[in-house]
Formats: sequence, C-alpha cells, structure tokens
Amino acid sequence: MMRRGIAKRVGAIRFAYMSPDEIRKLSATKIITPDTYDDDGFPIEMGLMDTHLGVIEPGLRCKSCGGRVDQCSGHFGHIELAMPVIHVGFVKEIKKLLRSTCSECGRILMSDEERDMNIGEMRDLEKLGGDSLDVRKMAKEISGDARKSDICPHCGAQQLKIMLDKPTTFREENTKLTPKEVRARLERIPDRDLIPLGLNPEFVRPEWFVLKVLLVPPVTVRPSITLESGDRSEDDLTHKLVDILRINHRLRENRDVGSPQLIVEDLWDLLQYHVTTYIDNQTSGIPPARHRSGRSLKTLIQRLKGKDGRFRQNLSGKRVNFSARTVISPDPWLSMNQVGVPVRAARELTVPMKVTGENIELIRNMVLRGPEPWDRDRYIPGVNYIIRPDGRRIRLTETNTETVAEKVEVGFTVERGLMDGDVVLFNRQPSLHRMSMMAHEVKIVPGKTFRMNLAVCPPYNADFDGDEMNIHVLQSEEARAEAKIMMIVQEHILSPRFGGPIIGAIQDHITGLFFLTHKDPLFTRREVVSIFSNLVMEGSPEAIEVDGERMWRGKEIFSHFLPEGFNIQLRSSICESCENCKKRDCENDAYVVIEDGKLLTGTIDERSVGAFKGYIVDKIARDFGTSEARSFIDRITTLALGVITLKGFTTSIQDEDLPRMAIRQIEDTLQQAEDDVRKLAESYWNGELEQMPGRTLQETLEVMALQRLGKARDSAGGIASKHLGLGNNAVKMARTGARASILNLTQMAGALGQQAIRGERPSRGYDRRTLPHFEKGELGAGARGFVRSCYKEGLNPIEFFFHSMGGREGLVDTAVRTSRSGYMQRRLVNALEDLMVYDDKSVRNPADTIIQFEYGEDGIDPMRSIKGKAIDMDDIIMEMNALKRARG
Amino acid sequence: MGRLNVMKHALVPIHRLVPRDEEAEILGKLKASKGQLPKILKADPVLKQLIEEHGDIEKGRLIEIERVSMTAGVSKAYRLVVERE
Ligand SMILES: [Mg+2]
Ligand SMILES: [Zn+2]
Ligand SMILES: [Zn+2]
Ligand SMILES: [Zn+2]
Repeated sequence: MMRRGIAKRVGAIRFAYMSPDEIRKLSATKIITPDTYDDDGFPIEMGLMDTHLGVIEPGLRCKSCGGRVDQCSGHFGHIELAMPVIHVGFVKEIKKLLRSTCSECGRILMSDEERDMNIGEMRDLEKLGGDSLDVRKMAKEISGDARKSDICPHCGAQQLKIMLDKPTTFREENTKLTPKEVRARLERIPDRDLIPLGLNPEFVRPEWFVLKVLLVPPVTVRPSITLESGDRSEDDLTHKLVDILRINHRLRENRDVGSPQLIVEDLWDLLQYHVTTYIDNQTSGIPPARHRSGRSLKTLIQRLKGKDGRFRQNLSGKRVNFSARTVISPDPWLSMNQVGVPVRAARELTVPMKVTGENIELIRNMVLRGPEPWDRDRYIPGVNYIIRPDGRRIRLTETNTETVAEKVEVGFTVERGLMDGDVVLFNRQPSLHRMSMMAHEVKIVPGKTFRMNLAVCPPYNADFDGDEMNIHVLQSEEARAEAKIMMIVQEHILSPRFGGPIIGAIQDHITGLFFLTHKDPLFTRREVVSIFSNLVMEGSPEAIEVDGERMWRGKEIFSHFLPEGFNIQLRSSICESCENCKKRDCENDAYVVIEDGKLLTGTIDERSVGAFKGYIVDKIARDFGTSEARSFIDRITTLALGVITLKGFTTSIQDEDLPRMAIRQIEDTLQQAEDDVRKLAESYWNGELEQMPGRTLQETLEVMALQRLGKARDSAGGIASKHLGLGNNAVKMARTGARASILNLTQMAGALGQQAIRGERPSRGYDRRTLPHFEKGELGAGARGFVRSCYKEGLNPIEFFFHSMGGREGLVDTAVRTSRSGYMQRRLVNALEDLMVYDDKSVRNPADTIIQFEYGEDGIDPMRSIKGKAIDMDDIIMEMNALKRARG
Repeated sequence: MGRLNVMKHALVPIHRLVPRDEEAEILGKLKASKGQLPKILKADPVLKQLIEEHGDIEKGRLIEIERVSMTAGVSKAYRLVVERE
C-alpha cells in the first residue's frame, strides 16, 4: 500500500529587500528620459519603453536577450534618483529604527550587555520554533525598551523625540529631517545593533529603505495598448514613471545650478510624492494621483491588493467555460432530477460530440440544421463549432452550413447545443456542503430563468426572491458518467450530515398532504380527476360506495403512491404528545401506521415526508433505493399540489383574530405577570428577596423576572392557540410543520414577550434606566424591555424601541456568525480536502500516512446510518411483526 | 512528594507499550508501515511515565492507545515513538 512519498519539500521562504547595488546589477538599462516613443513610433533608447526592457510588439527583438515577444519575458531597468526619497512601505520600520538608535552615533539605545542578552533571547525564540511573527513582535518590544532612554549610553548624546508626519516626513522636535539625513542616520547603525531590532544584516541594511535607485519593471509588466484610432495608451505604471523621471530631471537641474533651497525642496517633495504614489496610490494623507479622466491610477500596491488584486482576482479566482448563471424560479412540473435551462443558455452552452462511423450521418444532419434550428416553436439543438483533428475550430453560421457539413469527417469533434437529457451540474453559492452542487438532467424551457423542482430548495438553501444559480456543462464521457452515478439529485436525498433526508416535501406540499389525509376525507370522482390531472398514473386507487356514489378516501389515494410492502409507524408533527399515546386510536389522527403500503391511520405531514424530518422518505430511500424515493417525492409533491389547488388555501392577519374573551384573558395574564414582577422588584429594594444559591441578589431578581415573564408569554400563547385551533389555516401550517411556528402565532396574536440583549433584560442606555420615560432604578417589566403588545395590535413607541434593540442584536449576530463560521469552514476544508477513506476503512492522506485508523472510529458512513447508528432495532422488530402478520 | 502520574488522570486515555513480537501482526492488520503511523514524542508526559515503568523505550516502538469513543464505544489507535518532530 506504499505510495509515492513527497519528492521535494519547501523548507523556507525568505523575503528580503534589494540593495541599490543589486538593483543596478539587475538592471538591463538605466532610464533617463521621460519620453517613450519617437515620432516613427519606435521605442527611445534609455526611455521607459527601451527594448532592453523587453518587447511587446511582434516583429521586434529584445536588445538584452534577443528574444521575440513570446520568448522574452522582459528585463528590469533602473532610475537613478537625483535625491533620495523614503519608501512608503517602510516608514514604520524607519520610524522604529530612528527612535531606538542614537541620532549621533547610530548605536542602539541600550548597553552592549543588554543588546547581547536580547540577541540571545531572540535566538532562543527562533530555536524554539518561533516564526517570523513572533520575532517581529519581540523586536517591537525590544525597540520599545530602547526608546525609553533619552540619553545615548554610548556617546551620551541627548535624544530628541522623532515624529512622523504621515505619510513620509520625519521630524525631530520641530526640525524636519530630509530623507538624506534619515538615510545618513540609518547608515550609521552598526550591523550587530540591527539584530535585536528584527533586521538580519546578512540580507538587509536599513538605509536601503531610503531609495536612491528605483527599480523599473519590464515593459511586459506594463504594456502599452494601441487604441482603434491608432493612438497609444500607456499603462498606469508607465504614466507614474514618466512623472518620476520628469521631476527627477528638474530636481537634478535645479540642484546642479544652485537654485534657491526652497525650490529644490519643493521639487524634492514632489519627487517623494510621485515615488510614494507609484508604490501605493492609496496612501492616506496624500491625494491619489489621477488620470486625466479623474480615475485614480492603479499603481503597484493596487495591482496586488484587495478583491480586484492579483491574489484574489487572478491567482485564487478562476473563470470557467461552459457555465451559465441566471435567476432561478420554481417549476412543479419538473422532476427533482431535472433542471429547466432557458433556450438562450442552451444555444450558447455546448457538449462536444466525437464524429464516428456510427454517428457521422446524424452529425452531418445536425450541422446542416445550423446553429439555431427550430421545429416550428420546438427547440432543436444547434451546432456552434466544428473542431478538426488538428484543433482548428470552424464557427458554424447560418450561411456556411452546407460547406461545413461536407467537411465533417470521422475524427472531427462537433460542439452541439444542450438538449433534453444532458447532464449538467447545478450549483448555488455559498457551496457549503456537497449538496450545493448536484447533477441534474437538462430540460429546455422557454423564458430566461433556470427552473427547478421545489423539493431541491432545502439542499441548495434556495428561494425565489431573486436567487441566482450556476450550471456547468460536463465535457467528457467520464465526467458525465461520474455525475450521473454519484452526483444526480436522487443520490443526495439522504444527507451525509445527519443520516436523514435533506430533500422532501416543503410548505404547500405538506399542507396539501394534510388536507388529503387528515381524518381521511372523501373525494368525488371530479375532485380525484382534478387532483390527478398533473400526474402520470399507473392504475388508480380503490373507490368506496357512499350513499350510492363512488367516493375515494384520502388515505387510499395517498397509499396508491407508496411502494408495496412498505411498513412504518410514527407520530405526526400534529401529535400533541399526550401522556398516554393511544397510537392507532389517537383521536387527533396523529399516529401514522402504514402496513404493506397502505396508510391505515394518521396524518401525513412534516414528520412523514418533510425535508430534514420525513421518516417515510427516509425509509423508502433506504429500503427501496434512491430511484423509488425520487419517484415517491416527485409524485406526492405533485399530488399535494393537486389537493391544495382543489381545496384552496390562504392565510391572513385575520387568522390571528381572537374572541374578545380571549383577549381579556391574555391581558389579565400579562397584567398579573407585570404586577408580580413589580412586587419582585419591590422586594429586591426592600431587601426581602431571597437570594438564590450561587447568584447575587440582582441576578436572582433578573432570573426570577425572566422566568415569570417567559411564563406569561407562554400562557398568552396558550390562550391564543386554544382559541384558534386546527380549523385555522395559520395554525394548520404551524402544527403540520408546513411554515411558521406556534411561537410566531403567539407573537402575532398574544404578546411579543421579553426582548433580550445578550440573553438578559435590557439595562443600559441612561443613568440607571433604559429610557428617560422611566424612573431611575425602575426594574419592572416594561422598563426592562417586556413587550406586552402583539404584532397584530402593534407596539407602542417604547416597546418598538426595545424590539429594535433585540432586532439589531439578531442582525449583528448573523453577520458576525456567517463570516466567522465561513472562515472556520474554509480552514477545515483546506485541512481535510485531500484525505480519503480506503477500503480497509482507514483514513489516509496523499502521503499515505494514517490520519484515523477507522473512519469515524466506528467505520459507519453517516449517510447510510440510521440517525448515526448502524442498525435500527425498533424498525427491524416492526418489520418482522409485519411479516408475521402478513403470513398469518 | 510523589510525582503526578498523568496516566491515572481521567482525561488521559489508556496507553500501552506494544511488545515487539506483536508489532508485525498489528502493522499487518493496519496495512501500514511504521512510518505511516501517527507519532508520539519521546518527550510526551505519558511516554515519560511509561519509561519509568518499562525502562527505556527506544524510538520506533509502538504505543497502543485505547480511547473512549462517542461513536464506537472504545477505539484503538497506534502511535510510533519518535525522538523529535
Ligand atoms: Mg433568496
Ligand atoms: Zn529579453
Ligand atoms: Zn550615541
Ligand atoms: Zn397522540
């Protein structure tokens, strides 16, 4: 089982800074003139486009290496600066160095013993495995220590305070330090004194942070583009370098002829500005250099940094072909294995077809039909490209179909548009689990949106409020086979996350099935036909005779779609968990019994068929396979929509209307609670409140108040739901698990209840009170964020304020949570992505070392487990009993 | 004052020094060479304790760890003794 080991391993990477000498040595030419091209359009010698720096035009040869455009990757040049300037990237480092060394002798501001001790400690840190971040932190501490002494221990010179005027000007008390002086000071620092300050003198000298020579990147890094008008347009970096060269030139001239100090200094500052913006055009404290159009220039740092920078845009991010993205919309007529692809996308996306002896005639015919064939208004896949064996591509147009069709030979490849049945990957970001990217079969549809069955909303976490999704068209037979076998939607009905179904009925599906099965209603022939009108039926359910008329029982209709021999027993979502469950005889019809594919008792709702919960879906997928499960979900969801369409279903705020008596009851309950809390607060002030063990007196009060108010809201909700009952549509949805919850109804009809900030009653805001409407020290319910109004009646301004506090916390929490858990997930995925479970159940990495001796320690695949267990004993016993009964 | 025996701590799983003659069988069962096993430092507190009990344990020996597992009840893992990382 030994596989290849790791051939080479990167030991370390060191970033260092280039010395002026290194820059000169690296340079292919010195750049002196700010002009780029001469009148004939040829690059000027020693200009920014000098062909020593590489070539960007075909036909020219590089003067440094003789290579052509595609052979020479370019060479660096350099500019000798008339006066030194500070490198913005290193101002912090320079400041640190200036402050911790002597302004006269350049020594570090500590005794030699101290310095050597620090060096020793730093070496120890490295030896103990401290990384560069630890070393940097230590260097910062050492320089902080050094800065404390204001007299040099070596020469006794008084040290003045050095300030940095952002971004690049240094000041000593009130006199400005020119870059030249800064450089001179840095030069004076001896090598050994650099070590405790975090610089390695073997590789870097601090005076290099003050630039005397500027490295000029090759022209290939900043190519000029020729516009259609024939004008040349230069890269932002070239523009900036031109500025630098111009000012550099003027500065040198003025300095050499002995111009007034003021003029020279102004030019010097200007040069500093240009070099600074050349490096980072978003340096705070100076206006960014702008293009004539007003757009700010994209200089060195801007090329690398941020979302549009080299790293995130070009190195980590890739664009992909054969993909499409658009808004999604629901389509209950599609199978969950399908995806509706609009014609526009289907014409653009292609599948390669190899021409063989078998299919050559067929393909010639396809080519003859052109790129956009229609059969009346029926879509037919077109052909966009023909690829010859040598790789040449021919675009098929309406006019060249016949000539191209003749050319098609065995060995050619033809790229045809999508057609029904093609396999594509369908994806919605954020792709947090493998169900975020599943294979679907294409169905070409009119319109402009991707369409999907509603049962696959949960795995993608999709809704239709403007969500967009991507498809990727598979390009090879292997990929298609793999996708069809492993990634097709039905293979993901059971989630590997919790060993239960993640795909199933949602919302109206559940309500519809409730209407079909609860208390076993009867349906007339007309109604049954209407319900079935969108289903492809095999056979039909048995009718019964009622008052001389043929009628169909709802449970019988549902049973028609269950596989034969299917047995299960479970409690519905609507079960009230009575103390003594009467099971089959439940008067709420809340105990589901299915024997041999017949629904005998019980209401079908979320716990039977819902996504995440549906036990029936779960068991069908396990015992009858994924195809059966897919067909079951497809059919019962369509069935449910048939029922709910027939019955009609709506909800409105009137669903939360309560009889006057109930409202009074709720008010009394809340009043009682508020009174109780007021009494609690009084006893707290009187010192009569009994302290709870392990809590302060104040905590005791808070706990008791929260308890009392929580109870009040619950009983308000209890009163409300007692008066609403299962006849109410909102309650129907909440109880069956179709949508919303009893808590939502409570808050609409009863009271909103306590608003919490970090799990506690709001307490801050003003001096000893939350709002100026209360007395200082008031601790009653209303003063601490209890909302006794309900959504339906509306909140008063004070309640609204507390509610907004709670709401804000919710929003902030979700924002923080998503970013944090996203990063956690990313790190986890990066750590685990290339581990594999081998057939001996061991988990190993690519170097073949063992990570876990047996997968999950028990070797159980959670997707094939029953709620994490290998077998479900209760289920087996139930099945055996069913078998025994069936045999008599 | 007796030194703390880390192996008696409730949170430290059971460690056992695998006798040399069992090694081949275990490695065969795992379908792995010694180099593919997770490592345990000789400086590990548990190993120090084992050395106190067994005398020196040179690098290359196997340690069997018996852990209480949430999923499997008890699970066994093996580690290879190494001098340093
Ligand atoms: Mg949405
Ligand atoms: Zn070249
Ligand atoms: Zn000094
Ligand atoms: Zn019951």
